[in-house]
Amino acid sequence: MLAWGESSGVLALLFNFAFFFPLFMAWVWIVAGLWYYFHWEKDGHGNPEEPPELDEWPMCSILVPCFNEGDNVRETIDWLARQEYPHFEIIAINDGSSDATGAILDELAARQPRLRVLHFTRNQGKAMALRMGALAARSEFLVCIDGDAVLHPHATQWLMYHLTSGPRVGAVTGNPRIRNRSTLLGRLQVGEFSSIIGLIKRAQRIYGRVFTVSGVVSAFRKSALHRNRYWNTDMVTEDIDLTWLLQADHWDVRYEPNALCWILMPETLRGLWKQRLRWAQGGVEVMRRYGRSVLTWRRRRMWGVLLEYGLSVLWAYTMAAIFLLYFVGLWVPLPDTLTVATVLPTWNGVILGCTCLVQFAVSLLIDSRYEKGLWRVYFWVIWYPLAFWLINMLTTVVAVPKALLKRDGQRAVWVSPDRGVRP
Amino acid sequence: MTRQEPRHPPLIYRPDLQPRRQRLVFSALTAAAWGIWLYLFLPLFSVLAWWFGGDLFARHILGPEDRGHLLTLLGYAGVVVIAAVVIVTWSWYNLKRYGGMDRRKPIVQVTDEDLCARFQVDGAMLASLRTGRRLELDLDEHGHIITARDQSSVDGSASRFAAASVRRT
Repeated sequence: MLAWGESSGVLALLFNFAFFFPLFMAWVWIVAGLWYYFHWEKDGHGNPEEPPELDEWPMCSILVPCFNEGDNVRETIDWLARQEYPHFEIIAINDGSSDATGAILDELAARQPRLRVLHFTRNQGKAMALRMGALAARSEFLVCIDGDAVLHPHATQWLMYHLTSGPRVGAVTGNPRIRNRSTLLGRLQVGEFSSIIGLIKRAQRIYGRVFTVSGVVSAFRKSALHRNRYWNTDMVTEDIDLTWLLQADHWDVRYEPNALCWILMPETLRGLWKQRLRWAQGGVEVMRRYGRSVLTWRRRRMWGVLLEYGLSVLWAYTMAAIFLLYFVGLWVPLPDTLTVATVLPTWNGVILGCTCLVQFAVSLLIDSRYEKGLWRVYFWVIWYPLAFWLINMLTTVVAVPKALLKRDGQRAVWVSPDRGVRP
Repeated sequence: MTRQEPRHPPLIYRPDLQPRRQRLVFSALTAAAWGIWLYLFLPLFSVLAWWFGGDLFARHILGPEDRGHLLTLLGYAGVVVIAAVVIVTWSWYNLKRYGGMDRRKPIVQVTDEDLCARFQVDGAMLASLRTGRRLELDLDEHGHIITARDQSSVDGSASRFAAASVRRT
């Protein structure tokens, strides 16, 4: 057990940071999540099926970028057509798909009067699809969802509630829920999206700025996008990029947990690695581009998320350094000050493990109002900290040089990973 | 009044469809993870065992000769308390200072002229993009529209390449 306050020597510094940073952050998220819940969710607007009435019902354009979504897009559009918001259009952007996506969209457009379709002759990437969707949109308000996602019938109204209730609201992000849970990885991600992602979004709303909207479900004010170059086409995570651009321009970005969106996630290790590596790289790319510019006093509200992100990258490298020293020490004699006796934290592991279990319990308690039977995943998430922290650590370590060495202006195009085990 | 359960699409729970190899890998990983997890909790079991033998717990953790352990545990608790105080104080301050205020004035909505200028299209093309039910867009490497072909007829039924092609100015 590390003694409290021990701070001499490189190893003590590494171990203390590796232990105390996640401990501190986890409790910040837990307390902030509970604070948010009791202030804004519990007694107020807290039921996806009962959205608030709006003072006005302006038109809304729902943009759906699709690249090889032949297996999913029919269901996505069918659910979109069932939106109970009174005044909307759907614009599907077929991003040069090589499968049947285009034909399916044309067939759907023939019988669904709200649907319009843009076909790209070549694959241009999600950011470009969204840019063209925004140009073709007839409205000031844009709801964007992925071509394999399913939007709750009231989600548009929940998102529009924020955009119409505050002139400084530039974007709203919804609540992604995972549909596929056949494998252990699927079930772990169900827990993760509640525990880590949902709780962090609530906490970040309390800091005053969010790190990112969820690219799979978010809504934007076109005027806010227009002031900020819309979606940049050279960033691998266009959602993180746009969130930082908007907030640096003093737009408010909100989180609406009642705006439910059902999504498909990878259920293979390879798919998960690919996806997490892209996310990690996207975060570093954004820091590289905007990190310095948000350090001004006028943008001081961004400092909280900047510090949180910076420390999380540092934490990943700290953990990697500890592992590296341990494995090198197995083969090469190292000085005592650099010898790591074990990488298995005993007492510290218990404290972090218990903290993690409390975090999952709190978040599942909060999220159980959005999904029945969520407690079933609690059994599986017990090893989340062992597996996913390792994946996040490794992807961050790999992503930093990848993002730093990337050439500016290079078009970001990617293929979605597997969407899990499907019947 | 009972709370209505949020509607959702069918959830996909088909563990039987996993390839045999994948199922074996995940099972092995899970078993290993549980092993590590239980190993991590051994000290907790020790403490619980001590607790049942109260005097031992008191002697090892609370006793004056073992102040280090007690201080460490208090340090952990201190981190939790500091985290809670920091975030709640910050939220409380913001609610008191800015709650209900919205100092930003609405900005003018983006106009068609602004859109045309930004995306380098003319008014005719913008109109075509907004009215077409099925459009085929050819973009250059910078993302500018080279051609937009309206593939839908006026009544909305599909008719490939029926409408005129609009070239970017």
